[in-house]
Amino acid sequence: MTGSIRMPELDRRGFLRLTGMAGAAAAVAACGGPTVTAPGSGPAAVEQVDFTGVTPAKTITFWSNNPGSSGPVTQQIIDAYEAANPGMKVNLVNAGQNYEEIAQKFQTAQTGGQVPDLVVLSDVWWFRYYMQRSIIPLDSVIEAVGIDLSDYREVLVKDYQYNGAQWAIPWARSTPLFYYNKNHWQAAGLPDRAPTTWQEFAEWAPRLQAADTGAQHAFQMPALADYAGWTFQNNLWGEGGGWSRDFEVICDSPESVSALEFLKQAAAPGGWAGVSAKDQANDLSAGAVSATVSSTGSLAGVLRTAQFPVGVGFLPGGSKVDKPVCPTGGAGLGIPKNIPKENQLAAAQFIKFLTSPENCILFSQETGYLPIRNSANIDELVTKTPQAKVAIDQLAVTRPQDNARVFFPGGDGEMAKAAAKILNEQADVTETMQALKATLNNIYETQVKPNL
Amino acid sequence: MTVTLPKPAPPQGHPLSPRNLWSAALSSYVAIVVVVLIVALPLLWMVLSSFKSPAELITTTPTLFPESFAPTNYVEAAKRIPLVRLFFNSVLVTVIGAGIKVLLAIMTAYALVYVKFPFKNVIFAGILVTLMVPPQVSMLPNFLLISQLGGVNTYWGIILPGLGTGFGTFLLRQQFLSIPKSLTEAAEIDGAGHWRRLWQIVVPVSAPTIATVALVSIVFEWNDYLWPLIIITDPSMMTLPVGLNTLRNSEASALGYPLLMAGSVAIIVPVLIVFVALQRYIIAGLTQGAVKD
Repeated sequence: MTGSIRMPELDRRGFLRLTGMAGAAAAVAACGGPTVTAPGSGPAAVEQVDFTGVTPAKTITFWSNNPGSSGPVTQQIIDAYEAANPGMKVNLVNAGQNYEEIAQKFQTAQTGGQVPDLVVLSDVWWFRYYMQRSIIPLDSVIEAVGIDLSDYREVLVKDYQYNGAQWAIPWARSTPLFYYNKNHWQAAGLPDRAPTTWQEFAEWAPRLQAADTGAQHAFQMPALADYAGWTFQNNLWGEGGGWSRDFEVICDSPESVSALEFLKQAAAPGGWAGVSAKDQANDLSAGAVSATVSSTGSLAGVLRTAQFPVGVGFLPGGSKVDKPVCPTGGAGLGIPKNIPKENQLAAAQFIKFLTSPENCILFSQETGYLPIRNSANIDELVTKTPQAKVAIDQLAVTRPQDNARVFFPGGDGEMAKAAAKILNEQADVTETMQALKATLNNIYETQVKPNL
Repeated sequence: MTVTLPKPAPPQGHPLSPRNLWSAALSSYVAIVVVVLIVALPLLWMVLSSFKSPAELITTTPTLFPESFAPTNYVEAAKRIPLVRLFFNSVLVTVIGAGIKVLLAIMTAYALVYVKFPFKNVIFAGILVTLMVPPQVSMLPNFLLISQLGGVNTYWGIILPGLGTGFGTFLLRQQFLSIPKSLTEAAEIDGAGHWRRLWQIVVPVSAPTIATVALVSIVFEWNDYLWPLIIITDPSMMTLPVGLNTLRNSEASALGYPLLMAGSVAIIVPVLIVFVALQRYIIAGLTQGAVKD
């Protein structure tokens, strides 16, 4: 057993109390999913942890879902850390195969007091932990271990700021990219670049379909369950819409409806787009489609599996907005609250090493995720993977995601369901968006507003 | 008056005549071959894919055989996860977990059939109700209880919550009810108590059904993913399904597929061996108790 797992003592009375709790939990579980926390229980000011005189623990546990097949490179960095810091031990635990699984495991761990010392927080989960008060504000620990936050890319750091505090450190950060098959582009007589707008791509699509490429579709829309809420922000923003503006849900605005009508027509029978069932990056790599939108975290995988030259470009703009129309994404690193200060400090020390300029380049090379440090020397990365430069350059025209996706618990899933109705069932866009708005507003009123 | 005698039936052809062979093939063997192919082809595909590169798997023009039969993926999978240790964990959890589960099911079913006590039917109804409750509902209470008892990262923490089996108890109860009363009554007259009657008469007679319950329990324990994922955080304590998960990831799934195939072969082969060893009993067990004397 690792040194950082803490077991609460259990006496007879505690056991009886626990069995009562277990029964209650079963009843609650039968009724529905967990809410963020009891309404009205959100504290006001952020209380920083004081690390004066604290000695870091020798052993910490790091829960990751190893995004972008990052397990081996993360372990490589851990080995280097342990070699550079004799006596220190980092236990890397695969806590799930995606962001949802690691989140469920972390949520469950809260109830039993078995939390790790460091955990991967996806863009749609970290705010939930802030509202639950299950992660610590990092400002004081950043200062204690000497992390220079100004050297991290500002747009990525800001994603984790709320209520005047920093709640996570960027790590496996990504943006969506436009991926295309250069051979198919050539066969269709298209210029070797990504389209500047979706309207331009709609003009190109018939040429791609007419060319003898063997592709099923000119474009493959991303797998909705994981991607709809994230990547469709690009389409919504391009038409002047969005899922929300601050905390006001605007998914049923004329601009948003117009953007989704465009996607609906593209995915209609006989249209130029398909919808991926599982993984659009694999669909592209297999040669089944000519283009797609996927995470920068898919870059390494696509380049290693595709048997054709792969092109990447900025996300296309829309008819109303050219840029910025690219959302940030991916995951950061957070430190749980209910662990000893010694472990929190040790976790922060490891974060400093894990996200150092050298290690962030190594991590980017192996996975395709963005280099998160300004001082990181990207020359070797760009020489080895020229496509990575596109992702790095696109950072300048990114914008933070809509609150409805990243701050509303379960909002992302509701967006995916609505997108599936529109694209797979060809449902009425206005009606679907009005229903989504009602659902998102309910989430805000019951789970977000009371805890802000 | 002309009497028309019925024509004598044509002599039966030789059993191996083309006509008989053809009808036998059409009526049974073709169906068997089709079913075997449906079952075997995915397994064959998995084994062959475990030798392929990601580019060979992610393609619109797949080939059946890999370019090379080099065990690269097996070596890489073993490097990434401690396969031997995980295999040991899975075997231990499966043998102990399934063993106790079957033992408890046998004894519970025996009590429900042969022991007189109040509210027997109510208790049996309660056992049936457990079959209707999704296991996810009990996940959180189980985690609370096991973690407070110190069961995180322990073998008993993985095993304990799954020891009660409503399905096994139900199946064995139905089987025990179908055993002729005369058998147990004769043993009772000879002075055999419940314990001897259970192990010397009821269990031997019910061997096929017990083998079925054992197999279902073994397969369930061997494949269980969600509970071990939640209760285990120490990589050295993980079972194969959880450990195997480290070979596949979000956002770069293509790279993990060949490794996943190699790891899956390691998981499935032992279960297949158990199934082959017990199949005679399983087939008999699934049909036993279907006909009332």
